Parts: sequence; C-alpha cells; structure tokens
Amino acid sequence: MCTPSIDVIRTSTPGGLALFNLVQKLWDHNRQPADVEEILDVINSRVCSPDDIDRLLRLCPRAVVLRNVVKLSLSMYLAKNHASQLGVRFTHWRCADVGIEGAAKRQLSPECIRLLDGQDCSKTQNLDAFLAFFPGCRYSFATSEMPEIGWCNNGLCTGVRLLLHPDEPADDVGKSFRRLEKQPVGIVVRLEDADIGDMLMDERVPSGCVPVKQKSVRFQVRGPLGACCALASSCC
Amino acid sequence: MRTCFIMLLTENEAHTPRYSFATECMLLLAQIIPPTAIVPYADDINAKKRGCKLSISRSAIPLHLSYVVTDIFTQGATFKKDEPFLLHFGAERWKAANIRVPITRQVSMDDVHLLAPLGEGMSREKALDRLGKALTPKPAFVREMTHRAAQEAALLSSPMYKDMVDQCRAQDADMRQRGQLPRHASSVQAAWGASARAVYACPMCKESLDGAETEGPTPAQRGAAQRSTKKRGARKNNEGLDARTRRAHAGLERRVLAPGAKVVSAFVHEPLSEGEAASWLTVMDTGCASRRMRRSRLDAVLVSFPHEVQVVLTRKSMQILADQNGWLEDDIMTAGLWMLQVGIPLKPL
Repeated sequence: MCTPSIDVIRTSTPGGLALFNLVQKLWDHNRQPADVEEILDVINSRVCSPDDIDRLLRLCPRAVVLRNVVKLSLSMYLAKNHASQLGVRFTHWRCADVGIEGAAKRQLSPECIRLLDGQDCSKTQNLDAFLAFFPGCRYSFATSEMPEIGWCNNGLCTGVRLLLHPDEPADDVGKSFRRLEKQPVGIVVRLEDADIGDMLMDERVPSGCVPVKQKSVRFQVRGPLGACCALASSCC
Repeated sequence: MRTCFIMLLTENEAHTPRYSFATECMLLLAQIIPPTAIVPYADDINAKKRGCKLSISRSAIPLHLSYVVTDIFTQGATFKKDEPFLLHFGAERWKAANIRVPITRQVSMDDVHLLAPLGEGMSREKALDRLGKALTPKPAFVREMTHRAAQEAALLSSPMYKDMVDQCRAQDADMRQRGQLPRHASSVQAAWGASARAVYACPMCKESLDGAETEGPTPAQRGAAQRSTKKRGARKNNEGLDARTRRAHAGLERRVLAPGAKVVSAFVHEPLSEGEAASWLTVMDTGCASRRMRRSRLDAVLVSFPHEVQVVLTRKSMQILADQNGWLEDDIMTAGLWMLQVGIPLKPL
C-alpha cells in the first residue's frame, strides 16, 4: 500500500527555478529588508485574476486557508462547484444536535444551532454541522477507527453512495439539489490508499469501499455560546 | 446571494465587513454556481456573557469535506499538477510555517495560485513589517539549522559523496547512451507495491538481506539466514569501517515488516547536481515522510535516489539514529544525511 510518491521541485523548468529561488529566500536566515520586499512581490505576482479563477474552477480546485472559520463555508462552495463540473446532483443535510442539559433532552433553539454551525469542527468533536454528498465527492475522515486501511484523521476518500434514512421523504426530482430531512444512515466511500477488495460482501457496498456510519458524540462548548445557552434554556 | 459571500470572507478578516479583492473574486464564483448552503455567521450575536458551558449531543457522519484544508493539513503533502490548490493567507495568524508550508507544497511557481494578495487590506509597510516578523526564525531554530549546515558541508566535501555523485552521473550517461531511461520512480514503486514485503536493511549490512525472507520462509531457512548474517557481519568488520559507523549501524533494526505494511515513498527523480544536493532536503522536505509516518501510522519510509540508492527507514531506526547523532527525531536531515553518508547502493528485494 504505497501512498503517492512525493515529488520535488524541478529546477530544470523556469517555474520550478522561480519557486526554488523563492524557497531559498524564505529559508534564508540572514534576510535583508529588501529580500522581504522581494518575497512579498513574488508571492503577490501569483494572485489569481478573475479569468484565472474561472479557468481553475473548471479543474475543481481545492484551497488552503489559515483559519477553520473560512474553511467551513468555502469547502461547501467548492464541493458544489465540483458537483456541477461532474454534472451530478448535490445533496446536503445537517447533523442532529440535541441539548442535554437539564433533566430532559431538549431540541436546541434556532439561534443556538446557528451559532454552533459557525463553530470550528475541532471544537465540536470533529463532526461538521453540514455535510454534502454526490458521487465523486472528496472527504477526509474525522476519526481514526481503522488506521491500517487509511481510515484515520485526515485520511482521504471519495464518496460513492449514500445510504438514506428509512423514513426519508420522497425525492423531489424537479430540484437541482436535494436537502435531506433525516440524517442519512451512512456514506459508502472508496479509500484512496487501501485496496480492501470484497471484504464486506454486501451488495450495497461496491468492491473496495467501506460504509461510514453515523456517530453520536457529546461535547461542551464554552465562550460566546454562554449567551446562547441561556437563550436556549429560556426558550425551551 | 452576494451578502452570503461577503459574510463568508469577512469572517476571516477579524469580523470586519469589508469589500475586498478576494470578495470580488468570490462574487464572480457565485455568479457561476448559485450557492444554496446556509452560510453561518457568528458575529451577529453579541455575546457578553462568557464562561457558561453548553452541553451538546451531536449525531453526524464522521467525515468532512476535504475541499478546503488548513496549512497544517498540507504538511507532508505534495500538490499534484492536475489538482490545483488556491491559497488564501488572510490577514492574520502569519507565522513562518503558515507562509512557507503552503507555498513549498507546489512543484512549480506556475502552480501557485493566490486567492487574494498577501497583506491584502493593509498598507505595504505594515505588510512588509508583519511578513518580516513572521519569517524571522527563533534562535533555537537558527542554532539547529547551523548545526545541520555544518554537517551537510562536511558531508558534501567528503570523497564518498563525490564518488557517489560521479557514479550516478556515469550510470545515467551510460543508460541514456544505450537508449534506456534512467530507473524511474514508478518502477521502484511497482517493486515495492502493495504485495511487496518491505524489508528494512542497514546498507552496511546489506549482504544479510540475501537470506531475508519475503514470502514466509521455513524456520530452517531463517536459521541459515541468521548464520549467514553472522558470518558476513564478521567479514564486514574487517572492511575498514570506522568505529563510529560500526556503532551507528550495529544497533539498527533488521526485520521483515508485516505483509501489507504501509510504506510511503519519497523519490528524487532527477540526478542531483552538487548545488541541488545541498538544498534538496530543504525543498523536498523528506521530513514530511517521517511526520506522515507518525500521523498515518506508517511502518517504514522508502527513500529512493536515482539509480542505485534506495533506503528503507523504519520508525525505530530513525529513532535510533536521532538518539545517536543528536538530531531531532522528526528530522529532515536524519534520513537524508544518513543516506548520503552511507552512499552504498541498495536494491529492492
């Protein structure tokens, strides 16, 4: 089970040489102010024009950001772009959150849910509030249940099939997307680095795929949610 | 629709609504594909009360979309040419790693695509100041790099390394003359593919691999291999190796990995010039292999130079090397310097 090989910067091409020089400057410890200016200019020379973005969108790009807040929304947007490029229907849904404070379980207020949706998934036990599916969708795992086959945190996989909830209402085929009312039972994914063959022997699971099922976790959120907590308690 | 994306991007800028170049780009994106997702925004609730905890039970599928990742995720990755990555640095949380890592994951400058300029929304002086501060290394880091550079310089001036480079070049020229391509990474990868048993071998003890089992040998064969190893080990000690090298390799692990063990490969495709060899470790970042090994629980790292030099490093051997030589365990140079110091060809079994 070999992971894709790690390539190197090839200085034989002009682009490779330019990047090589930039990397050398980034790692230079005796940097002068003029060098910093040059680094800034070289990096900023690679800012995409609207035409570039248009071209890149057809290639279904991914993105690197420094903050998870941006990651949540932009990821959903690029997933839609990928679905439209593949010409497949986009399905999305949100997780089920239930407040467990007090004697009885209570449904969270809409304000509380909205606030939770904006939280970084690392603060909400690594489970995103929103999830989407289409055949060919790229996922990464949030748990490490089977590291031997690549099912570990940040392990990559591709969506193959959606296992819907039995009580899910009928699909309205007129719409270009589908919003699920119930949390799906699971997603069948194809692992990128592992060849597991027909290990599962289930007709719903194609060869080389595994079903990722629902999971329930409990977690606590602090900070600004305190106000929301009070709000939720007062509403219920 | 537009409001939705303005909110999306301004959240990155310390919750300050601002119509920026990046916003403009994203609005262009929005015209192509109408968004339907609910975009969350957290800054509209004026939460004055802090310190209160809210307990939640969440039911979801433990997957998340991997279209957008953070710079931490990209450590150890190499972006492929057919999978472009957009980079967005925002205006805060600049650190040396934040700037260096996403850029150095690319193979060419043509593949670097920034969604917004670095230092967008701030004056040029401020951007330069913050970038300079972010890229200024800490003293401990400088000490470590100076130590590495000294080791590297000593290595590059050693006759063993020069012989190895000359040998590689001669072989390369010979193969090209005969119309053969140099050994490509893919052939090595095929040899070490899913069904291969990755065998770790200390290059100084490579003869012992002749008796190493790859398909589950019988106990008798294993015993013969061990006896053979002892004899050859005795011969090896008389080959004029210095005491330090012998000590360094005596404790290295020799074992057969379990079938199906995960092996990550790092390849250097092109013959190295002397200047490139001095800096390939910085550029290629073989250290990602060790990080990946730890993160993905890999059992070994196969590092392959062109032609003959291919080395498998196991987790334990890297740890031993780190202890003996005073290098960091998660060290780029550990693998690279050791390989170059050894300089003895190995072939995959």
